[in-house]
Amino acid sequence: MNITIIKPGIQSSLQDFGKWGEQAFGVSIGGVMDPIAAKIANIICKNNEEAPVLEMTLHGTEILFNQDASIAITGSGSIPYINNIKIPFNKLIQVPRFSVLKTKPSAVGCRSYLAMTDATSESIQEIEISTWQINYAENFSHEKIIHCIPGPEWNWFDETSQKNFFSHQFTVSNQSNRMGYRLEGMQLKTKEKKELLSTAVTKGVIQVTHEGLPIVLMSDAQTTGGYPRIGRIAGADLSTLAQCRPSDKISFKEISEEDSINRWKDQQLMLKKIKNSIGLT
Amino acid sequence: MEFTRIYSIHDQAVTFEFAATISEAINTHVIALQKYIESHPFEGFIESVPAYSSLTIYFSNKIESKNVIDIVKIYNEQLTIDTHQQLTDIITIPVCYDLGEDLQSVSDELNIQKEEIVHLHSSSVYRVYMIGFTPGFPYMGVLPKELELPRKKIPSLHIHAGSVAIAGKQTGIYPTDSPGGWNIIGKTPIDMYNPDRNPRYHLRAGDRVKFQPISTKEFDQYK
Repeated sequence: MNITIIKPGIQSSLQDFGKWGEQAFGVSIGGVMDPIAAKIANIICKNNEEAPVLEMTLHGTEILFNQDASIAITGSGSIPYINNIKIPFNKLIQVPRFSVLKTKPSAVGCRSYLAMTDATSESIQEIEISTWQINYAENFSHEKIIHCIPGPEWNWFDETSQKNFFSHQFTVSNQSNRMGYRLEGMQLKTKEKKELLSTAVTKGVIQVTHEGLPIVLMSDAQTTGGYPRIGRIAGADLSTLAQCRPSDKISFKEISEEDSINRWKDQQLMLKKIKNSIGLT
Repeated sequence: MEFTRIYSIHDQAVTFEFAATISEAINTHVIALQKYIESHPFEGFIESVPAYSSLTIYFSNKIESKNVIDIVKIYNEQLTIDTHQQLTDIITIPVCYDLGEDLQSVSDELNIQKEEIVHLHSSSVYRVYMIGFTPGFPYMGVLPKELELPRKKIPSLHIHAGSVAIAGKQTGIYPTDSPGGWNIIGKTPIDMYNPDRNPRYHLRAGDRVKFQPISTKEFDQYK
């Protein structure tokens, strides 16, 4: 990826798909926030599905391409321009050397991904993924449903809090980042004051702070925590949540462990279909 | 030792919990189970994360959580350990207590002379119960009762790497500059985390640690 970052915008970082193996030493997994969008960007470029990509949070990123390249931008949260011409998402775009990519504000979404390849020999081939193929993205709105499995400390919470958790909307706080999404809404209370002995946590886990507000842990989550865990979101919904921006609304919908895994399998199938549609296996 | 709770924290991670209490015997069992699993990895095993009284297993989609639970249950039954034979060598960590920025306030709050705090803190052998919070941060215990005091009401925004701290029944070392709420009573010249060293992490869960008081002059000689 021979590019120069002129401006990082709100936050831009080169991301892989997470590294395992050192969580016992307190090192978080990390990796892209929206793995589906990031994988689609790589698929369009015919890269390895898990090749590193540039993750751009909201808008303001400015990038100079130091060589001819083919690129794909996926996800949402900005409007990309190449040399001041608006370009579509989910499409292979030829970019001549010294072109400049700028991302401008958009109304919805939060994270866009840039994948690129030097392979310009395939430049004739038109690759575009229509949004109907990306069924997870059908709901790029300000209100999202996030599927959630009751967590290990679900029973610590009083009945009202348990009811409110699945029946009231929460608002994404502007204190949210790659470590976690802080949510605002109905206060969640435990039946008694109890301390949880620090234990492992990971992305998707929903901790409830002493103020009674939930935090959904995301890619850069710490490896251990001591707050009660009211739930965990379905792995397949991490992408959906990663595309929420501050002030977006979230409702949690209860799902079984089994259905959570089925959602994940469906998502993998969707990726496979996208691959097949452009002649990849 | 029997599991008290088994639950998923992710589609591909299951936590096995023993009685939720800070106990050397339980933590010794947790670490022994971790070592056993790592030396007998099953198909799909990725890594394990020990905590005070729990072990969390991360696995790939090659295996389902119920199969992981079955395997770990069998492993746990096979595990026979004599906790007294599990004792590891004591790792000595030099600490300059004169560089502990909160030592005076800790002394005031506990109403114990600074010299006595140093003596108490450096006389015990501590167990590393787990690593967490930031890369390489050891949660060690159990602190002498006289030294127990709560976390600072207002956490410090900037704690220097190497700071040796106490909170509740625990003592720890900040591996990197970071915010934090523990009371700083000293500083070690030893890197808890050093990317250019092998091993990169100075301590791991299950290690035993003793602090050795050093002067500011001796501290400087390490640099």
